[in-house]
Amino acid sequence: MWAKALWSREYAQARLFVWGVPVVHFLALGFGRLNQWILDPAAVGRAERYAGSGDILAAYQNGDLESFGRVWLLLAVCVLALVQFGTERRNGSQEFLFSLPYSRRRIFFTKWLFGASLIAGSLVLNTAIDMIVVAASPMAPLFSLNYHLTEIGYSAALLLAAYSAAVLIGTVTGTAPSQSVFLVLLGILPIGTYALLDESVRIMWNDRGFPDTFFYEELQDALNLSHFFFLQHDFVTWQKTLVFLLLAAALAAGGMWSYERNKPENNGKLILFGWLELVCQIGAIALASMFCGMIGAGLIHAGEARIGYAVGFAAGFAVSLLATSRLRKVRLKT
Amino acid sequence: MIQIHERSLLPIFEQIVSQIKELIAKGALAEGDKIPSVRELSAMLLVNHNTVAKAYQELERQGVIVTVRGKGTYVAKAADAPGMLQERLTGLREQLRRLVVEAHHLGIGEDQLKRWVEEEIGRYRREEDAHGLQSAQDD
Amino acid sequence: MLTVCNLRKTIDRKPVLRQVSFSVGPGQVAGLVGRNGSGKTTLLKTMAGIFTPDSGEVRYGETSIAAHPEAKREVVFIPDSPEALYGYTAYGCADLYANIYPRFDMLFFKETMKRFGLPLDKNIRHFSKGMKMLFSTGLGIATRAQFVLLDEPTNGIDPIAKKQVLTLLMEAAADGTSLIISSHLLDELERIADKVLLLKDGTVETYETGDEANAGIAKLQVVFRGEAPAAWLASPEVKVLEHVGRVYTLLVSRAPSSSAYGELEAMKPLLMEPLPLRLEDLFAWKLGGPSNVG
Repeated sequence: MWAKALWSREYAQARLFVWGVPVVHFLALGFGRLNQWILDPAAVGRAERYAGSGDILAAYQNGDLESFGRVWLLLAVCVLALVQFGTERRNGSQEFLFSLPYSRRRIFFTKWLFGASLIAGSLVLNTAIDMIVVAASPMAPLFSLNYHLTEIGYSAALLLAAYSAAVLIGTVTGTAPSQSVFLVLLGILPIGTYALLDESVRIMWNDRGFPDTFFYEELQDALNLSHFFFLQHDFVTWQKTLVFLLLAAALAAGGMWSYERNKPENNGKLILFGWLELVCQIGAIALASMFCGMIGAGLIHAGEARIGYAVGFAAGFAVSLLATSRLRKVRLKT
Repeated sequence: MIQIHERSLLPIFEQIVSQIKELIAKGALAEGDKIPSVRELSAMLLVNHNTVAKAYQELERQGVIVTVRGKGTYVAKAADAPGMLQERLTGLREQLRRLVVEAHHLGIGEDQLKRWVEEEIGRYRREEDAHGLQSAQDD
Repeated sequence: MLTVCNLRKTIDRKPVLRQVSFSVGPGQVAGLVGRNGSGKTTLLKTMAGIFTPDSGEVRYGETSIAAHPEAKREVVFIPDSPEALYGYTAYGCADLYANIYPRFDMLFFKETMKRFGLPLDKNIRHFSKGMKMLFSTGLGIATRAQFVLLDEPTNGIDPIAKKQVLTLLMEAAADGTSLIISSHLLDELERIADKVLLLKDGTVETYETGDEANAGIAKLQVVFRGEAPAAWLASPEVKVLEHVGRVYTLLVSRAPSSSAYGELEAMKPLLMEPLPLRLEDLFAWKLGGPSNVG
C-alpha cells in the first residue's frame, strides 16, 4: 500500500504539522514535567513528601499534563484533517489526486495513515522524553512504567478516534468551512442534544426531566465528549481504551467508504451526499425547534410553560426549515 | 519557407506537395539539400504528422524527394524527377502566358514582343559564350 | 486504444453526457469541440477518472480505468490551470511525477524547460499563464503516457506561447503520443487533428479531418436565376453562411433523406460551385442555430 508519491504529497502539504506538533506536545508534556520536577526549586521537597506516602498518582499530578497534551493533539489533528480533506476540494488538489493512477481507497488510506503516524509518533517521542525527565528528576523513585504505558495507550486510542471522526466529517462535507463547523458541532452535539431533550421533557411532561439514576449519570458523562480528554488517570481504564480503538476503526472505515463515493463535482456544497443532507436537515430542525421551545417557555409567561414551549417550538421549526432548505442549495465557490 | 493557407481550396497535404516542388523549381531547394523530417515539418507548420507524412509519400512517389534510412530526406536529382520536370515546364508555360497578357495590357504589339524575345535569347547566348571563353581562359 | 463506451453523466440533475462513445488510437490527435457548457471538460474529467460516470465505461485497451486505476499510468490529464501544483517548483513537480509515472522522462522535461526558458527552481505559482501552460504540457508529455488529455491548452495565452505549446504537442504526436485536445480554435484543430469529436446534446459525433465529404453536407457558392427562393433558403436543410450581392455561400444537406440538394439543382442556378468544407462550417451547421445558444 506504499505509494511514495502520495506520501510525499501529504508531507508537502502538512510539513508544518510534522515538525510543529511534536514540539507543542513537548511543551505540554515533557516541558511541563521538566518545569515541575527539575526546574522548580521546591521539587526536591515535594519528592520527599510523596516518596514518604508512596503517592504515585499525586507525583504524576493524576494525569494533568497528559490531558493538556491530549487537548493540543486534538486541536492539531482537527486542523490536519481540515488540511488533508477540506482545503483540497478548493484548490483543485482533490481532482488532481483523483486523476492519478491510484485507487481512492489507497489515497484515503495514505492520508489516514499519515495522520495516525503523526499521532503515534508524537506520543511515542514525547512519552519517551517524559520518562527520561521523570527518571532524571527527584521523583525518580516513584517512576511507574505502567503509568506511562496506560496513558500512552489511552491517548493514542482516543486521538485516533478523534482524528478518524474529523476525517470522516472531512469526507462528507464539501467545503473547509462546513467541515470546521460540523466538527465543532460534533463535539457539543451529544451532550447538547441530551440537555435539550432533558429540558423539553421537563417542560412538557414532568418537572424533573430525565430521572436521577446511575444510568443517566453515566450517560451524561459519556456524552460530554470533552471529559474524555481531561480524564484523570485513575479513571483511565482499558475498556475505554478498547472502545476508542474500535471506534477509530469504525470511523476510519466509514471515511474510506465515503471517500470512495465522493463526487468532486459536488465540491462546494456544504454536505456532499443528498441523503446525509436530509438527515442533517431533520436533525437540525428537531434541535432548533426544541431550543426555541425552551426559549419560548422562558420568555412567554402566558399561563403554563407548555404554551410558551409550543409557540417557540413552532417558530423554531418554521425558521429552521427555511434556513436549512436554503443551505442545501448553497454552493461555495471553489 | 512553406506557408499553409487555411482559406485555400487545396487540402493541406497538397499544398505541402506543391510548395515543395515550387521551392525546388525556384531554386530555393537544390538537388541533394536536406529537407525537414516529418516530425520537424509537422512541428514547424503545426500540421498533423500524418498529413505531412502523406505529402512526403506523394513527393517520394513522384520522385521529387528521396528518404535515406537513418540519414534523412533529401531533394532528389532532377533526372530522377520526371514529375518535377513536368511541373517546371507547366510553370514556364504559365509564366509565358502571364507575360503575353501583361504585354497586351501595356499595349505592346505581337511583333514587338516577338522581337524582344529574340533579343533576349541573343543576349543570353552571348553571355553564355563569354562565360565559356572566360572559363577556358582561367584553366 | 482509448475507448469511451456509452458514457452517461448527470450533474445537478442535468444530463451533461447522455450517450458518449468514441475511440482514439495510438498516435492520433483528436480535437474535442462543442459550445461552451456542452460538457467538454466534464467528458475529459470523466475520462481521467476524476468524475465517476453514472453508467458506461472508459477503457484503456481492454482494461476499465474505473476498476483498475493503475491503467491511468497511460492516461494523463492536463487541466487548464495547474493550481494543484502551486507551491512546488518545476523540478519538484517533475520529481513527484517521476514517482507516479514509471516511464517519466526527466531528461526530456529538463531539456524542454530549458528550450522554452522556464526556470526549474521557481515556484510555478509565479509563472505567467503562457509559462504555466507550457510547463504543464511539457510535464504531461514527459510522463510518456500513451494518451494525453488537454483541456483548452491554448486558452487565454499569448500567441508566442501558444505556438510553443502547439509545437510541443505536434512533436509529441509525431513521436507516437495520442492527444485529445478540447479547444475552440477550429482553424488550429483542422491542421493538427486527425479526427474531430463534436459534442452536442450530450453525444459525440466523430469526423475524420480532411474527409468532411462524409459529413453529409455540401458547401456551395450559388447565384440564383432570378429571385432568391426565400422558402428554400429558410428550410432547416439549408444554411446561409454569407450573402454578398447576388452571391450566396450556402451549406446544403446531402443526407440521403434530404431533397434540398436536388431542389437546388432543379432551380438551374447561374452559378453552383463547390467549396471545400471547413471545420468551422461543420461546427456552424451542427452546433449553430437559435436552439443551441450556449
